[in-house]
This record gives sequence, C-alpha cells and structure tokens, in this order.
Amino acid sequence: MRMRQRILVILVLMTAAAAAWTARQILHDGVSARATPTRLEIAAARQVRHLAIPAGARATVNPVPASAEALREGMLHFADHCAACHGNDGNGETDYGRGMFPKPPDMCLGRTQELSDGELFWIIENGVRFTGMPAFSEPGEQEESWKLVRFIRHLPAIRAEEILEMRRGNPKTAEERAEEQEEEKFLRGENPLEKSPGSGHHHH
Amino acid sequence: MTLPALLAMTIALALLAGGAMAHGDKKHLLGKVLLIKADSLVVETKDGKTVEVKLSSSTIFLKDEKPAQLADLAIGDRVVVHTATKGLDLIAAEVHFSTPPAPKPPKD
Repeated sequence: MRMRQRILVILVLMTAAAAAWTARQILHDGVSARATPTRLEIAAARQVRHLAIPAGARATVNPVPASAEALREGMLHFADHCAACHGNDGNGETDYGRGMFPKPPDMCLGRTQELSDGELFWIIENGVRFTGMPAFSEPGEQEESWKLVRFIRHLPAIRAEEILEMRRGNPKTAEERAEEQEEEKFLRGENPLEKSPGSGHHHH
Repeated sequence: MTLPALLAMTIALALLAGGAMAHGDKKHLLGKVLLIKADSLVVETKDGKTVEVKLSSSTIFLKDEKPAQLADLAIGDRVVVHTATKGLDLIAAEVHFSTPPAPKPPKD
C-alpha cells in the first residue's frame, strides 16, 4: 500500500512539474512566433508529419517527366507562390520566414531533400497544420504541384540567372516596383549621385 | 470572455505580430564603390556617407543585370546593394552594379 501511495505521489509531483514547466514556457515566450522550436519539438513534429502522410502517398512517383520546361514552370510558380516565405533559393531567410514558428526549413538541405517526391507533393497539396505551410490543393492542378516538386529537387543547384528570373516573377507592391525602377535609373546613370536626397533607404 | 473569443483574439494578435515582422530590416544602398576588399565593400552613398557592407559566399553580383563576380566590380562603379542586418553588420545579399557613363564632352 505504501509503495502504491509513493508511486502516486511521485506521479502527481511529476505531472505538477511538467505543468509548471509548460506554464513557465508559455508565460516566458507568450504566443510569440519569434522563438525557435526546441529539438524535442522539431523531432516530435517531424515524426507526427511522417506518420500523417499515408504510406501510399509517400511512395507516389512524380508523374511529370523531368524536362527543362517543367522545371521552369515549377520555378516560376515557386517564385510567385512560395518564395515570399521560402525565398527564391529555398533557404527560408525571408522576412515572413524569420517571423514564423516554426521557421521554414532550408529546402536545399537533407531534411527536405531526403523526403520522397510523394511526401513533398503531399505537403504542398495538404499543408502542415500548426505551421505557416498552407494547403495548396486545387482540383485539376496537381500537375503544378508535381512541377514544384521537380523544382524543389533542383534548388541545391540553383543558378544566379534563375534567381534573377525568379525575382522578376516575385509578387511586388507598387512601392517595390517604384523602388526597382528608381534603382534601374540610378544604375543607368540617369539619376546623378549628387542630386538625389538620402542614401540607403529602407526596403519597405 | 468565452474561450472561442479568447482564442480568436490570440490568433488575431499573433497574425498582427507576423505582419509587423514582415517589414524586416532590409536596406537598399545606392552609391559608388570606394573600396573593394575580399570580404567587404565600402560604398559612398548618395548623401556622401561611407558604409561598409560585408560580403558572403551567397552574395550575388550582377553587372547590368547579368551574373558577374566580385572581380568584375571596379572602384567608381555605381552600385545598388541589397543588404540585410546581422548583428551590427550589414550583409550584402545582392550587389547590382554598372560602369559609370562616360563624361559628356564639354560644350563649345
């Protein structure tokens, strides 16, 4: 009997300690997305994601054949829909990416590249709950997602010319377009150094 | 306050915080190259200030919007440097440059 009581007390204390630790974490970080997930959270989330993707979906082979055209279409689609968070080069170092919890992964690295084509497709189509990754599934548009998978495979070898082309395809505000035009004029020498006010200015 | 209302308020606050972050700390520097080092550039900006920008292995160089290298850059070139802040350093993400236009011949 004493043994059972001791075990019960230990369990209650452990539960209370876990609750106190969780409360401390919440009070300390609030609901801020600035924090970085702990290794335990990352490992647990990856495992849950892995389990959530049906085995059949994981094993699906990309039906879009590898071609320069498919790659380019995937690239331009990525520039328009994905780069705001993932960056044109897929490293996730963007204003939106840095402000997310969890941060978007560097897609050039193994943790993304080791996923199967089917897993990447599933994630694009269904999103990942409790992250910034939305579901992009639209009826009849699966081919576009498979082309994105082709492009994601290409990311580790992306070239500067491709980044340039993607930049032209990135969504821009009117302010950004005006700024871009001003910079082009400056580089062409149409905007004299001495007459323009101010130096470096904030991007936004 | 009901639990759903509290949750909705929390989500709204979280979304607002994300929007504020999106403004980021990026800067575009416009000026001419004063000094070129292996790991940094010194730029004289349009208002006469000198700013040192660190280069990294991922810095992209573009001359007349075509891929280029650090070696293609010359002192006096006009540059537009897209930077991000890392600690106290300005890191160049992209260096766009062009050779300054030839001076116009003097008028008679």
